This record gives sequence, structure tokens and C-alpha cells, in this order.
Amino acid sequence: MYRRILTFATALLLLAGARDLAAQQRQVTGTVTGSDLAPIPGAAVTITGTRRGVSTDAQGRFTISVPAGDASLTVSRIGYTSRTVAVPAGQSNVSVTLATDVLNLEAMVVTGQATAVRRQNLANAVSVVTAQDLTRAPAQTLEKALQGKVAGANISTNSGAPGGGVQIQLRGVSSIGGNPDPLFVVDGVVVSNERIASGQNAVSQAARGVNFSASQDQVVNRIADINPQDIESIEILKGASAAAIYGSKAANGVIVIRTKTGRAGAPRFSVSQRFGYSELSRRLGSRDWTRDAAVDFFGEELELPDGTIYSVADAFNADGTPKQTFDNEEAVFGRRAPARETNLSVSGGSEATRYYVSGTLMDQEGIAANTGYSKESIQLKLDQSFGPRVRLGVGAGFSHSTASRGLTGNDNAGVSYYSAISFTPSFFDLSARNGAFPYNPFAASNPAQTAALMTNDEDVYRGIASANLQVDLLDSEQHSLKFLANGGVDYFEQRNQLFFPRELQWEGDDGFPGTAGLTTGENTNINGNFNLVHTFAPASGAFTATTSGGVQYEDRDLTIARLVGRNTTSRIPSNAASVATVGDRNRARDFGFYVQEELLLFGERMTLTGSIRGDKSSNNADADKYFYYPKAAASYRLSDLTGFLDELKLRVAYGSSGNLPNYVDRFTPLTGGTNLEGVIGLRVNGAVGAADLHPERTTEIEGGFDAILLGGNARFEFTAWRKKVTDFIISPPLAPSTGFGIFTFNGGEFEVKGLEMMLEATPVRRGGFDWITRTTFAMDRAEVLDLELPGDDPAYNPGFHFGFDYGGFRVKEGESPTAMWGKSPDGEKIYGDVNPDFRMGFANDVSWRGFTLSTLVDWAKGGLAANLTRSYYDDAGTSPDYTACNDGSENCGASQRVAAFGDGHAVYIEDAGYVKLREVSLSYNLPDNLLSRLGGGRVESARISLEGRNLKTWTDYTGLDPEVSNFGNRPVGRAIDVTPFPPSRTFWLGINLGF
Amino acid sequence: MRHSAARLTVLAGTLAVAACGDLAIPDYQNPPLDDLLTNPTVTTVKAAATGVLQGTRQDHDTYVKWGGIIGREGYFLDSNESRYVRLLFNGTPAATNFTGSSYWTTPFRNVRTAELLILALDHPNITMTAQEEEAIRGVARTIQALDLYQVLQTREKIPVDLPPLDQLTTPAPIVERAAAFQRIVDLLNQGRTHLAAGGGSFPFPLPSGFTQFGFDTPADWVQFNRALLARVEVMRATMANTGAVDPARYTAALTALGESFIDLTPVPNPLDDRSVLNKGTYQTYSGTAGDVANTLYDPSGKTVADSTLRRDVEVGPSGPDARFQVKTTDAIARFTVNGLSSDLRFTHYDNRPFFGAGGQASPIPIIRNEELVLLRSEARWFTGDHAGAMADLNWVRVNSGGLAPIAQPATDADFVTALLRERRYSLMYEGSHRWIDFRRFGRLAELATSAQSQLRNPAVASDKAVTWLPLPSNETLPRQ
Repeated sequence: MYRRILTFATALLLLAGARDLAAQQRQVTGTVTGSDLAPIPGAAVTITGTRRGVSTDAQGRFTISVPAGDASLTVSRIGYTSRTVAVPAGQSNVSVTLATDVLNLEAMVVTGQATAVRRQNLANAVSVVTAQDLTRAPAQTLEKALQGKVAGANISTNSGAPGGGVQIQLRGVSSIGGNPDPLFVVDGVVVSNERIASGQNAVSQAARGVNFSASQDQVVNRIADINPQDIESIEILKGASAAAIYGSKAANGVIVIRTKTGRAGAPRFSVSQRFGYSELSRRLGSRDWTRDAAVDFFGEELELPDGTIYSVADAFNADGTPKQTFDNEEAVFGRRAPARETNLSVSGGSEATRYYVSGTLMDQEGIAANTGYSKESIQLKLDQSFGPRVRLGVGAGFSHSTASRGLTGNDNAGVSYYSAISFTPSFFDLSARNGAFPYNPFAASNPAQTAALMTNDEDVYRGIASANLQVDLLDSEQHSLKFLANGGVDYFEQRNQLFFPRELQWEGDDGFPGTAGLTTGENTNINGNFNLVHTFAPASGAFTATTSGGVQYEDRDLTIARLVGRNTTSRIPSNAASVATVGDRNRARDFGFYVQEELLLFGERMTLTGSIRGDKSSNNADADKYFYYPKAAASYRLSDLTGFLDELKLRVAYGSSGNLPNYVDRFTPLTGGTNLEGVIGLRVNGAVGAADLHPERTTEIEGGFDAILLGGNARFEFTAWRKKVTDFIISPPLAPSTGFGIFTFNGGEFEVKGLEMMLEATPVRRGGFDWITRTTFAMDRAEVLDLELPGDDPAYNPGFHFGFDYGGFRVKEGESPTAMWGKSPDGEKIYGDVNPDFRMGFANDVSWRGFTLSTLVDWAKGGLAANLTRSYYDDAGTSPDYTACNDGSENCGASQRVAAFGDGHAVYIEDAGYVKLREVSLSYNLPDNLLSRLGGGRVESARISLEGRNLKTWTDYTGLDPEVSNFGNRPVGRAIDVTPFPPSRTFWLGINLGF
Repeated sequence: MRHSAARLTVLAGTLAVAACGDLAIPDYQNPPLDDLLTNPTVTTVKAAATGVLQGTRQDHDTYVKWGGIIGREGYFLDSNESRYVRLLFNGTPAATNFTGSSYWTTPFRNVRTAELLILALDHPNITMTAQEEEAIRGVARTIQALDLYQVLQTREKIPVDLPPLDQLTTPAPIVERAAAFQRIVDLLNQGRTHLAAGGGSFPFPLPSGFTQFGFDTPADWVQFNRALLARVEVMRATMANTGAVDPARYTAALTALGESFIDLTPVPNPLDDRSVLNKGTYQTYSGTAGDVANTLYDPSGKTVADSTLRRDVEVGPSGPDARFQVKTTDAIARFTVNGLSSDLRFTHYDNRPFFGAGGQASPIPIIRNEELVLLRSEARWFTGDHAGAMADLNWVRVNSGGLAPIAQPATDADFVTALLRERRYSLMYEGSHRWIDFRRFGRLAELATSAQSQLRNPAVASDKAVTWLPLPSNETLPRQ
């Protein structure tokens, strides 16, 4: 392999022309250090105004040839503020000190498949999140680590279940029923965020009678497998204008992840060890009963299937008060669950060969028995230079995770934990006595028993390998030509093992005691891209022009096999007396090409960008047809301004990107899989795919300004944007009397407008006291402009709700697609929007003498949710506010809700706004003198920290968690709350050593 | 430089072309509609004939369940879905959710499958004999009539036409009941003509729901077809839903019954052998992989029988009504939803099925002999043959219930009361009969309050029974 790469590289080198030879030269040597005087390796040292330069070695040293006479050098390194220093004619040695770039002004941000610009020249508002921001308080998955940190990213968990299941929505909705998630790119490889249902529907029967497929299985989207610890930085291209270069898969934005790479020098080890625990952070409470109320509601006594009698009356004292009151939420979710996490990494190498190896071992138990999340991963990055012109980087990561998810969410069998808890009155104790769980006469199941005996484990084995090759074909004073090839494979296998033993109270309810399930999902994404980048910087310095072009190919293949065995004692479903199997396969192939031109003008004050991308895909009805996505953007920096304003950048960007139809959308099939006593039949399936089905198109214009204030101590970003989603794909029902059910076509247009603001500042930086603060603000509003359905008042119900009795969704011209509709006595009306009115995030880091206190507060103002969990409690007579009805009156809140529901009011729609204290971390860096005493000089750094996640929620919402989505990730269809896994808070104590 | 860039562009271009091949990917999950529409084969046509029988059983259990809840026959007490009680039982089904929108899509889809099957038979690819093709057409038309009839018994007005495939966004007009009934009668008559020309056997296998009682040739299907017509004509006779009747339709029903499989062979012990009563056609279910299970089989105990069936049961010379004894059993009142609860369960989709092993494979009657006798009793009464009517009614009392005969009632209204009693126990929870009967004789108010006694929580006591399910909003929205 090595030889072949070399041969290939050599061939490319031969293609490059001869280099211009510089005339009169002199040598300058120097060192680059940080403000702590530690050497900075890998810093770029260039002759100011030219493209010529070198980088520093492991000791921060460099040697560069500069023209005779006075010169100046520009020194830059990601993470530091760049500096320009003068090197007068006689000087041959220079030392440069770089200050930390606290506000990330210097970050390089991707603008194309193969190009990047400094953030200060960017024409789009691209958010950058660094490793430090991500891992302040450990999160189980990447998306949770991003919550509250990015303006314009609405990140919501679907439930509190261990593991993933989180939706990232960038700048509001971009689709109605299509793919809801952004595109994830890790080190240049498009990685899968596929969602594979566990198969718990086999026991929950959540989808009974309704063709929701398995979307109610509390599904995890697989970006959860990316280990936050391995990430160097994340760039979030929020809108179509920034993401246009990614074409027909980028309408929901693009999240570009760079993993950590090696740094030249002696091996540097880092070890961190954390211990922690989780606990239930919110509970619903339950009605306090009197004997009369209980007997009136449940009857004097209840007969159990074994013929014994449970006496309701016996649970009460002579005076009518309960003998004992039990917290049955605690009985199921009361575990103080231990957690541990170990991270190891080593990095080093020479300038030519750099390596980074890391490993993570993590195990977090969940708050219910048999729940938790554990992960083991190993990551390797290797960068090799073959001479000065060829660089090859390879990355390989492998991880295994196990998410034990419990049995929660909507069900129709009474087996989901909160569904059974809600029906169990507080005078009945669900917990085990002498190891035996009592029969629950009030519900189908005893959830404490279910939790103790069941298995619902999701094992994922995932490998992502990437390679990127960069060849400098030409590198002269004025021209450079690079060839970049980038490709990789993302493969994972997901195995869901479910087992519900026969002794569970409910396991005979379907006539088949004992259920075992096995779902195997296998996904392969193979993709690659090839690019040429030409940069031209004329000697005049008037401009720099970067021209790039390339092609990209992707093949995604997902196969799912699902086995369910009923009437069994075995965990192997195929050993069961009754076995059912289903299978599924989804595959897509995409091809695209692009050309892009970026111009830096007027001493890099002005940036102009234009590009076009063409894409075709097998998911379109016509797999050979190209769809084109243009982009144009400009920015201008005004610097050296007076007063408090240091620099002001004005920017505007316009672009389009797309969202592909789902695999099945384009087909008009028959149903052929089922049989009638063994004879296969063919029937009309009901789905009709439009003959011209094509991608949804989002066209966005954004504009705004970035201001650098107070001598670089503050930065303010303001962006206003407007996007139009045209040709959005809908699957409105055909009148069922036609014999067909749904018609999938490109049928409308909606508009979303929004604002984003961010203020980053270092209000105090003196005397060893540092305070860094960041506040983000974002809001958006959507409106359906056109719906190409027949009729005067076109509207359709996109599903993924439980009817307007509880609150649901309707797409209608002139209204917001995410509006929540509910019944009222005058017909269905809009109660509000599930999208929050606005979101704000407040991050603050305060450091003093080695101590750092960091906090992150996440605020979602407004936004509705349909709280069906509460309706369960109302049906069961157990809502806490039923207590006031113990006197037999109908004057309590719950009773009034039931009455109002009957009168056609959607009483379960609630305000789901919240303020959450997401992260708190207090850490202490041991001072050097202590370090040298403890570590004998070998330990370079040591940090002790106390961390907490999701410590506190303030909300008016009466459900478990205002962040909720029974149907998982949905563009339209979130915020339906049906007995979810409750939220937990986590505390950690950690030690981090560097040596 | 320009030179090398050009060469590299060529290189990249080559790679692009290499990757740029045919991207198309087929449907891995399902065969295309064109297998029946544009390119049918003898194999796909036979499979579609089986598909029509699959399609008609697909939601038949829903038809029984919904009509059962509204007709106060049996309830579905689901803690997780109180709307079976809050809305359906309480008389306010909603067009926008399953309480009002169920039993609509599936029957129409099957009408379409049958229509495409009939079209496919005319395709030159299909090299079957004329008799084989006629037999299949006869099945398709008869099942279309059955599906439309059952939909018409749940809604006041329905569409009866299928729009052309290129005009699916323009659904057919919704027609009045008289026109809908006429369409159903026409379909049955067409089906009969085709079946009569259908030769001695069917070219595709029939499931046990038809073969159990020998409905396995086109000639047997003619009898089945006429039995359906008899039922449709009786329903047509009481179409006014006020108790007013149309004797001409009853006469037509009597003619159809004469060509049906009505059978008055005495039943020695109705607790033991009910095969004469059960003779008929059934929807077939099975719990084996890839087949469809009968969801009326519900070991969870959520499906309960109305406990007034026990309160109201008659006792005959040798014990309580045999129909009650065979089809119900005492149970614990395990679930209470909004105060509704019951300690009685059905057994005829459980351990005492109409035939077979029971459980998930329990068949659901389409139409059977016991109903034919009751239809004839009604038709005879309202065509003036009171003695004949009583003979039939008492045949059912004696041979199905093990009860003593009753004397001839004095008035039409009293006869209807007696008839509805027998129909309640004879046709218990097998086809929405009680709801339909109380509606067509204008007695829904009486039905609504009949279940009061088993409600514990008077706040949700229902005094309103559903007259019609609404047209689903999916059906009405595309028409606005």
C-alpha cells in the first residue's frame, strides 16, 4: 500500500511544473511560544503578503528564507491569535509569543469540499465548537454535548433513555416529512445518522392498527456513536447558503466534525478518569386517596387471575386515610446509578509522521434496573508526509456501545413503565417483597417487575475509516495547485436483543408467554471525493483567487432483519414456538460534482464566493437527472475603526441545497409479502410515488455583521436569514375510497425566517482572573406559502400524532407547518407552535488561580407539547390534582380536564418552554510546584473536576420532560409526550493528568 | 502548469465518469403495481385473486369490534387508549382519529384490488380458460359487494365508484344510500352471472373459511352470493331507519334465500354440535408467520362482553340460552376505563371458535345459516307470512338457544323486539349486527342506555349511541 501511494504521489509530482527560483535570500530562525512560554509546534510562519512559509517543529522552532532587506513574518496557529512581526534587514533571529484565541477568531472554517477560510473572512454565520466546549461536563453522546451551545441549533432529546435519540434542527424546519437531520461529515467522510428501530413494538404494540412502522420504538439516531472525546472541533453550517456545496443532502445543514490529530514532538499522554452517578431529576407525583374515593373508583375488592382477592378497602385505616403511601416512580426509576469514564490518549511523532491514539471506556448505568449506556472505543489518526508535497492522513476508529433502553414510550399493551405507573394508585406498592413482585391488579403490568427481568439492549459495532491525500502539484509565489482525495467507509452493525421472560405479569396477555426479539441492522456508507484546488495570488497582492472543483460519490446500503419469537423460554427468537420475521433493505447511490471560486480582495478585507453543484441520486424518480445548487456570498471587513469597535464585517450569502426523497417514496408497489394459509397473495399497497419525484430544495439568503469590540475582548454576531423550501415532499392521503392511500410528490412551498445573535466576551482578564462569557439567541418563524392539493382550503395531516383530541399537526396554507392543532368546540384550531418562540444559551467560564467554574444554561421560551402522559393519569384517576376530588365532588383540575376533553377541548396541549441548567463544572489545575513534587517532574498537568449535567429544570410543563418526541426525530411531529423515559441528572468527579 | 492542470482535470474527469454509471436501484421491499397493471401474468393474476380474499379479511375484525362497541355487545378496555370508551362508546367518534376513521381504507383498497384483477384478466398475457376467468371475476365482484356493503353499514353515504388511475386526486362522488344499495345489488348479480359461467372449480386455492363448509366451487359460491343478496335486500327493506319497511325488498330477499344455502336440519344439542347453524363462509386468520391473526382473539382480557348479556339471558328447559353458554364465559373484571368495566368475556374467538383450533386462527363469519333463518323470519313477517316467520324464529330459539318456542307477538313492534332478541344472542359480536338492527328499526336511544348498569363512574355514562361513523377526514379533505 505504502509503495503504491508513493508511486501515485511521485506520478502526481512529475505532473507539476518547475518551481520558480527565488533570487536574493537570507535565513531567519526563531521560536514560537504561547503566553505561558510553552513552545507551539505546528504554527504556520509565512512571509507577510505572500504564500510562502514553513511551520514550527516540536520545540516551536522554525527556519525560513526571506528576501534580503526588511521583511515581516505572519505567525498563526489554530487556537491562537495570529501575529505579524517585523524582521529588519540585520536581524536573523526572532521569538514570537502568541496569545490564546479565546473567541475563536482565527479558526479555519470549511467553505467547500476541499477548501476553508479563516473565520474572519467568512460570509456565513458558521458556528464553531471546540473540544474544550464539548467535554466540559461529559455527555453520553455528541448531540447532548452540543445542547445550548450553538445559536440556531434547536437540539432536543427525544426522551431520557440512556444512549442517543436526539434531534438537531438547524434554523427551523426544512422539510415536512422528509429527512429531519443534518448531514454529518467526519474527517471528510459522510457518516450515517440512520435510525433503526429496536423491535420493542413486538411487546409494546405501539403501532397497532396504525401504519407508523416502528417509529415509536424510542429509536436512536446513530450519530450517537461518535465519541465526543475524539473531536477536535465541530463546524456547523446552519443553512442552505453555507451548505450549498454539499448539494442535495444539505438542506438541513451540515455538521463538519474534525477528529483529533497528532502533534509532533515527544509522546504526550493524557489520562482522565471520572466517576459519577445519575438520579431521577423529575417526577410526576400521584393522587392521595381516601378509602371512600378508592372504593368508589376501583370497587371494594379486585379479583386476581389466581382467584385471590386484593382488597382495596384493606389498604386504608379506619379513619379512611391510606395505611401507607408509595412512590411507585421511585420503585422503577429510583436507582442511584453509578457511572465511570476513562479516556486515554497519546500523541506525538515527527514533522513527517504524526500520530494520535485514543481510547475510551465508559459505563453509565441508568436510573431503572437493566438500563444504561456503555461504550468502548479506540481511535487512531496517522499523518504522514512524503516529502514536502504529499501528505496522507488516515484515520480509523472502532467503537462498541450498548444502550440498555428499558421499555418506555407509547404502548398499547400496558407494559411501558409510565403507562403502568400511571394506572397504579399510590396506596399500592409495586416493589418486590422477598424477591417476589406483587401482581398489579390496577394495570396490565408491574413495571418494577418488568424492569427487573427484561432485556432491551442495543449493541452497536461501528468502524469508520477515512483517508485523505493531499498533493501539492504546484507551489510557487503566485500559484498553487493541490489535488485532494478524500474517502472512507462507515460501517456499523446494530443488534437489538430483547427478552421478556414468561414470568412477567403481562407476558401471557397475547396468548404467547415469553417474547424474544433480535433485530440486526447493517449499514455501509462508502463515499469518496476528488478535488483540485488552484490558488492564484498575483505579486501585486491585489487578490487571492481560489478555484476548486471536484466530484463525489456515495453508496449507502442498509439491511435490517427482525426476528420475534413468542411463547418461549429462550433468548434466541428462532427457538420460540411462534416465530415472525421481517426484513427491510434501503439503498441509495448518489453522484455529484461542483466548481467553486473564492476571491479574497483588498488585503483580505473582501471575500467573494460563487459555486455550483450538480447532484443526481437513485432516490429520485429519475436517477439520471442532475439537480443544480448554486451559491454566492460576499463579505467585507472594516477594520481600524474608532472607539470601542475594532472591526466590523458585513456579510451576505445566498444559496440552495436539497433534501433527497426517502428510498421508498418513488415507488408505486403492490403488497406481496403476506399469505393466506400459506398461499401468497398480491394486493394494492396504497402508496403512489410521483413519476417526477425529486429533491426538496431550500434556498436561503442570510445577511448580518460580525463586530469585534473592546480590543478583541468581545465579539458580536448578528444574522438574519430567510429560507424558502420549495418542492417540499408531502405524502397527503388520497381519498381512501380511491383504493389508494398516500401520494408522495413535490407539492408545496414554505418559508422560514429567523434571527441569530451571539455575544462572546472576556469581560475580565486580569490578575489571574479570567471570565469568558457567551450568550446565544435564536428564533425562527415558519409559514406554508403554497400547498398543491386540490380544494379551496388545502390542508393535510402529516400524521405522527394521536389525533387532535390531544394535539397534532396539520399542514395548511398561511399557517406554520409546526403549529400544534387541537380540537375545540368550534372545530380544530391552532393552539400555538411546538417550535419555541426563541432559544437562548448562556455559557460562562470563570477562572482564578487554577480554579475554573463553568456553567451552561439553556432556555427555550414557549413551544407546545401534547402531554398524553397526563391523560393516562387522568384516565386512571391518579393525577395528583384528583386529590381534591376525594370528597366526591367534580371540582378538581383533573375532573375538569376529563369533562373539557369530552366537550371537545384539547386540554393536554401545554406550554413546554423551559430553562435548564445543562452543565456545571468546577475544576482545579494543580500548580506547577505541586506537580513537580507529586509527579517527580514527569507530570505536566493535573486537573481535578466536579461536573454536573442537567442538574435542574425550571418549567411550567406538567410532564416528565418538555424535551420529548414519542416518534423520534421528525421535521414535523415532535413534542408528542407519551410515557417517555424520565430525565436524569448526572454528577461526576474527575481527574485528568497530562504527562 | 496549465498543461498539468489540464491533465489532472482529465484524471478527475475519468474518475467522475467511472463513478457516474447507472445509479438506479430497484424496490427491494415490494413488487411493482405494474406486475398487475401493465404486465400481468397467470401467476400474478392468481396471486391477486388470493389477494382479494386477503384484503376482505384484513379489517373484518375492526368491523366487528367497532360495531360491537357501539352496539353494546362488547368493549375494548385499553388503559393506553381510552378513546374506545371516551369517544366511540360515548357516541362521539371523530373523523380525524381512529374512532371515526376506521373500517374505511381497507375495504376500498380491496375493491380496487378486485377491479385491477378483473382488468388484468382481459390482458393478452392471460392464457386461462374462459371458465377460469369467469370464476375469478365472480369472486372479485362478490367480494367487492361484500366490502362495499359493510362500509355502507358504518356510514350513511359512501362513494361507490373508483376514479381512473390517472385521476386519483379526484375521488368519486358520494352517493345516497339507495344508490349505494343498488350498486351492491348490481355487483352481486354480476358476480352471480360470472360464477354461473365459472365451471366446476376455482383456478386458485380457497382458504379454510370457504372450504370448511364446502364453499369450494363456483356453484357453491352462487349460494353464498345469494345469501349476501338476501341480507342486502333485508337491509334495503329497512333503509329508512325508522322501523318503516319496504315489503318488495323483503320479497326479493325471500327469492334470494331460496337460492342460498339456508338449511333447517334440526340441531339435537346446540351445546354440542352447532355445525348446521355455523354452516357458511368465514374470514380466515392464522398466527403463522406472514399470515394475519384475528385480533378479536384477545387473551389480555381487554376485550370484554357486555355483562347485560348475562343479566338478560333466558333460561330454557335444559338451562340458560345455549348461545350465551357457548359464546361467553365469566371472567375477572381486570380493566376499568373511564368507569366502564365488565366481568364477562367472549369465547368464540378463543377456545370455542366456530370451527378450527381457535385463538389467533379463529375464523370470523361472513354469513352463516343461522342468520339466513333469521333473515327469512323477518322477511316472512313483513310479507304477511306471520306463521312462517314464527316457525323460523322458533327454529332458531329451539335449535340454537335450546329455549322454548314463543307465541306469535301481537304487533309488528313486538315481533321486532322478539327478533332483535334472537339476533342479539344468535349473531353476538360477529358482524356489527346489533348496532345495525337497533338503527334500522329506529331504536338507537334504547340501545344507548342499555349498558348503563355496568358503568361505575356516572360522569361518563353514555346516553348516546353512534348512528353513523363520520366520513374520515382523509376522505373529506381531498374533496374540499
